[in-house]
Amino acid sequence: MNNKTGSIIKNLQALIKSPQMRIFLILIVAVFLMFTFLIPDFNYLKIQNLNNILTDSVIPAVFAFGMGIIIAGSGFDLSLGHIASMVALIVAYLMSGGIRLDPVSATLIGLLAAAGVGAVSGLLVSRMGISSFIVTLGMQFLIIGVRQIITKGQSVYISNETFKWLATSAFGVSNLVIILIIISVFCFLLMEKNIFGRKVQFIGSNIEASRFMGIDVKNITMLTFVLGAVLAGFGGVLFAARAGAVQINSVDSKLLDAITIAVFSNVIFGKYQSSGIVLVAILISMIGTGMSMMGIRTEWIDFMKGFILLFSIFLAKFMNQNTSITRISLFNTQKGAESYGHE
Amino acid sequence: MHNKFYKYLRPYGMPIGLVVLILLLQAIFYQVPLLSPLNIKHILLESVSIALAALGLSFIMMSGEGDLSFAGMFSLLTVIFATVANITNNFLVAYISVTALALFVNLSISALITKLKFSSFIVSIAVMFMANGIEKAFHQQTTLINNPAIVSFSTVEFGLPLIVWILLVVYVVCYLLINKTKFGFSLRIVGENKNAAIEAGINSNGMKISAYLIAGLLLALASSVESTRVGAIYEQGKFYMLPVFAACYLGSSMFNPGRINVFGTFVGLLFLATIEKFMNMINVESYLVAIVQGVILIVAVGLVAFKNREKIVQIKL
Amino acid sequence: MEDNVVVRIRDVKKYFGATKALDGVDLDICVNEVHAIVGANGAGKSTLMKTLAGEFVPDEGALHYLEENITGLSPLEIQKKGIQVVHQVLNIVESMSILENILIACPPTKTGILNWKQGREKAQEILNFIGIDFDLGKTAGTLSISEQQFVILARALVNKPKVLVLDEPTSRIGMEETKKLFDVIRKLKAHGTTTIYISHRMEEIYQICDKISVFRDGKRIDTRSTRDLPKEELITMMLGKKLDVFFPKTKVKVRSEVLKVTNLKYKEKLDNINFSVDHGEIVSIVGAVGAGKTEIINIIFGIMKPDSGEVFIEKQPIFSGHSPRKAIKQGVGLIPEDRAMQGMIGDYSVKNNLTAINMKNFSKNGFIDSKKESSQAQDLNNKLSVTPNDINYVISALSGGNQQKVVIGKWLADTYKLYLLDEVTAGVDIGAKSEIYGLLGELAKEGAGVLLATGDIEEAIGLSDRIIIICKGTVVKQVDPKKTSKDEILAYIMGGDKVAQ
Repeated sequence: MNNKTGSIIKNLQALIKSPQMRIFLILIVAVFLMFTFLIPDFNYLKIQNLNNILTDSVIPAVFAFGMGIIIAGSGFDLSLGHIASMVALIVAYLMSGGIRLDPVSATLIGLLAAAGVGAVSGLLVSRMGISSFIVTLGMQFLIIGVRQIITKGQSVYISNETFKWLATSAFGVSNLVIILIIISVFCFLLMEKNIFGRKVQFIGSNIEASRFMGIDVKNITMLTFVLGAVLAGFGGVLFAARAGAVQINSVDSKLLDAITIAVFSNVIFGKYQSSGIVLVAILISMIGTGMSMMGIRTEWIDFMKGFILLFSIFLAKFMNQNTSITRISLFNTQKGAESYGHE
Repeated sequence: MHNKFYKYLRPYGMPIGLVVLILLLQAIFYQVPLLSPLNIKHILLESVSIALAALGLSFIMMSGEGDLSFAGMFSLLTVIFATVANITNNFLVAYISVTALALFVNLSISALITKLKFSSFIVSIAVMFMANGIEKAFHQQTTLINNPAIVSFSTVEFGLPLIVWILLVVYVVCYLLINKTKFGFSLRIVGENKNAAIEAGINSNGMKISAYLIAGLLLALASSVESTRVGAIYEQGKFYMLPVFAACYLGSSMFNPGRINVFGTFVGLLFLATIEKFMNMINVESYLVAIVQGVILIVAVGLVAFKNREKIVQIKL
Repeated sequence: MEDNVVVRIRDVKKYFGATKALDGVDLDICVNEVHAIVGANGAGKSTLMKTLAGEFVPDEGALHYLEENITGLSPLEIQKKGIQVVHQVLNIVESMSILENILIACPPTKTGILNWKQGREKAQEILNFIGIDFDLGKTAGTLSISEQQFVILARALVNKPKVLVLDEPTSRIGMEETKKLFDVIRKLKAHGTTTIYISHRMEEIYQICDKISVFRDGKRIDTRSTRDLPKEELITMMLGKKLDVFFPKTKVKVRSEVLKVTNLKYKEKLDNINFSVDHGEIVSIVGAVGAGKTEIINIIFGIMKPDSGEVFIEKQPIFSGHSPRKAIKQGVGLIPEDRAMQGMIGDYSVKNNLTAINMKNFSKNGFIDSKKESSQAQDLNNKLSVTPNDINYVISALSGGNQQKVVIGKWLADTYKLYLLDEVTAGVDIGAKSEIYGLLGELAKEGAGVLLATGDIEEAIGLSDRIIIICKGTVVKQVDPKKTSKDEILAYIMGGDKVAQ
């Protein structure tokens, strides 16, 4: 037992020592201080507010975990927001008057559906070699169509009390935060400590060499899409639980947050880092909350998020990181890749 | 003899196939006046703005970059055009403001990409989000243009509608630019093999910036047309993303071995527009149309990817 | 400047961070000569040529061309002056025609509008000069690598350069084409063009070059005329030390079959391939470029699927759904041809690369034990004497030879029954080559079978117990290197089974 805690502490220490983390922590502190002084009566510092910030960061973070896995494997997924909406709809529908399924089963079925969609995207990408960007762009529209067919445009309300419990709090800390911690640990173990994660990152860096090393590129790539979809789906469920009602396109906009957080984290830290994703999610939440407390309207907050994405590349450049997020066969097949080594 | 015939025909296989498909549809649904002159005119009319946007994206993709910002910029520009038009009642002022903004944004993006070597993908996504945010600030106040004179821009005809003439002229000019001039030659090299471009002494950065500027001009024109036709489009911008990309990708499977090209984009776009019009005419619900478009996009790209499957290279964004 | 010096390089220094790529280079290239530049990897050859071509600006020193100071000029300006470089990497624009590729730097236009009819004559003239018959309208992407090499050569000659730099021009072309290339070089010489020839291939250098300049550690060691420089001395100069043992001398007695290949057929590339390899044997597959060596290796490893035929590992058949993973499970390892793209994960550390194959060995339930990982990596690093000895070094920052050591190294973490190597010493300097040969000898001694695909006949003769000669996708003959001369093998490679009869 001692050994494990010892190594965990060592890991944490190493983590904080890294220059990227240092700069990032400075950034968070700076933003924090800025809002503390800009907002009257030090309202920003109030415990309730800090709690809100933390809670608000959970759902975007869950999305970002999913997006991050896909990005690490050199793919991209534009349909995660729509998958989340779809799952939310399915779960709400299953729990509603017609069927009255219990929340756990409903959630499982919903996540299964998400996994299905992710598998389809993953198959098209890994077996057919179609760029993930295009596949998920098309998938987006497919989901929009399917959704419309199912709901015929109506919203679905969630009446099951148990379900709403998910979003409320216990021990002063929202349950959502606990869920975040669980998911972070899961993703950390999976992506940073597990062979699977290592393989994903290898594929993301050099798919050809990964093949020659016996890595099952096709299946692992597909799995990244499945995992990303399931995490996004789970995010959708959380969103529905919090909101109490599911409109047909309520979760679509979460894509923006997911991309911003996942890309920001990947670009700054150079790879999939769970702690990075959590911290970036908290940062974004801090900025969003701070801005709205200053009376700035939502549209400008959205604008700000796009700007933050841009800013993250500047920051990465400043820290001399590689400013390309892994390799994605996205648009054209272009020759002239840099060669390694020097003669 | 047999072989030579096929080799000559191969680049034209796809477009011929698409034309045959359309003819088949018309034949099967013979009551629907899909290919009547009036209908063709409508198809052309309705696809002018998307065609121009697709052409702009084609330039950017030919230079080896990618762009998502147009999805956000397109709707924002229509909003600005409509707003300025209603305030000043002057077409030219509205058009110039939109053009200026588009050029400014694209210049900034291309500067970041070339000088600071940022990823075009990330930057364009960021710009798309920012444009969406700004657009929301308009609170959907202006939706239609009040001045009938300005609106008539999209309806006035000289045989064919004016904007269709503009579309055709622009496409022909761009086709010649890309395929018959040194500029186009250099641009294509930059996009296909950046080391070859260095070897040839081509100013890659200059080429990319030019491509973005041209795309900006085209996007400005596209949004002006769309604004006069239907007003400010707000949230609908993202629905334009699909046909624009689909047209470019579909186009790249034609005429040229897997590379984006002007004529291919044009044919691809007409095909998609015809299919969409067809579905509208037989009263297919809008979400189904979306599904079909999604499938077409995936199939189109799938074909290209399948053809090139030996050669798919990972590129850094 | 003396009358006959066309390029003068004086005291050129170029640093990349702490690395001294060029450490005060002095070099004179005289008019009308074929001047070889040789040196180990990292000696500075390519850096010097890139500096000459204008891609790099030297930190110190000057370069003169004829009377003019060309230091710091852009690549385009230097091309215009008359210095052309044919790079190692073939920068072909695949979707464009041969004509367009040849005239890439000087598209035929006066007003901005292209006129390819004019360009045709110019391009055809060059092709005639080189002695190749190409259809100018053909798409460059459909050409073979060898043909593409000549297109690039034509590109360089279009502007009638006075100095032509060839960087490893024969690495991708076969014997016939090499002869053609040499004819071109001689023709150029007669027309007053100087050629600078960078290559690892000794036989070629001794065949075509007048002078040899040896580089080591960023400096020019000496320049001698080819006649006056025996090979051993050249090697000693390159390495800075004498090289005694080159090929492992040990022979192994173990004899049981580890690999058998029957009736392999693959598209038009391979037909009727049959052979076997025993434990402890080192077998080479030799053949011209494009003969099918890589295909055979890749099929055995499961990267490519044959149209028909069987592969047996220790008498177990391995088809239907063969994959690299299965191959590895059955004890087969492969060091692929393209180091950068296939052999290593460039952005990651030496440690990660060395442990990439056998992660299971130091993980519990799929979770990696980083201590064990590091210690395995460090052991391998030490064993292979990789420099610099830092397992956290990003592998792409190592020199070619050291990279190759790491690429091979990951397969040493476990014992494999069969090692497949595809051009394992290509682009590797003599010192590292020798180490690799020693390593292969050890592996064979420990009982593994080694199957080596190589275009280097001397390597095959020196290293293997048996040589399989491939010509145009079929096995021509299997010979005993001790009893067969190099010329004989060459004849089989060129002539195929006609000669065998």
